[in-house]
Amino acid sequence: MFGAFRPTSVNLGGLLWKIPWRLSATRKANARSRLKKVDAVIEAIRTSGVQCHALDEALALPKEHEMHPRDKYTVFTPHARGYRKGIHKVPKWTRTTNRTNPRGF
Amino acid sequence: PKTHYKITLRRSGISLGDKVKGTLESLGIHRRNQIVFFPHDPIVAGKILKVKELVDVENVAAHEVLTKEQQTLLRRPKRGYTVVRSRREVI
Repeated sequence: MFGAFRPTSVNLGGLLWKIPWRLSATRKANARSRLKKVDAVIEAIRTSGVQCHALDEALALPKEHEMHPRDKYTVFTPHARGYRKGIHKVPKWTRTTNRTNPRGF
Repeated sequence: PKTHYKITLRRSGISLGDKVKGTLESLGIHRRNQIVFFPHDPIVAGKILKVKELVDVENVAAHEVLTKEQQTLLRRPKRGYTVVRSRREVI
């Protein structure tokens, strides 16, 4: 109606942000390509031949083709049934690394 | 032999906190799509890995390294004419 917000019928003027519980195919494709770009950065540092602790940690991360889709599109949360939530609900998820989750979840 | 990193900032560090912004500042990057060159070094490698989600990295040879002025001149359009003679030397 006015701007980005639609008034809810319940509150008659309250604000509503609708966020789908899962990612669409497009968003998943974009997420995969972002993971591949980070893999390329780590690979470039590895081929340069330097040795540092940050590189050892980065090489321990799984690559995009080694990750289960569950790890690519969801992230661990202790609060929800199933202990997972959509990765798009993590703030700045397109610019942070969230590849690993606690074992067993 | 490729001896330098060519670092291009693709995503900004806005609202990622002082550590990430400080890392970008220490790499001398101020705006998106800016390109900087650094010789291979574990310290620089650590900085890149801190901002690995924001950055594109390529290994280049030493003769491909461009200074800021050289990058500016490459962006500048060609004049479309050549100066054959000029009275500038006479003056």
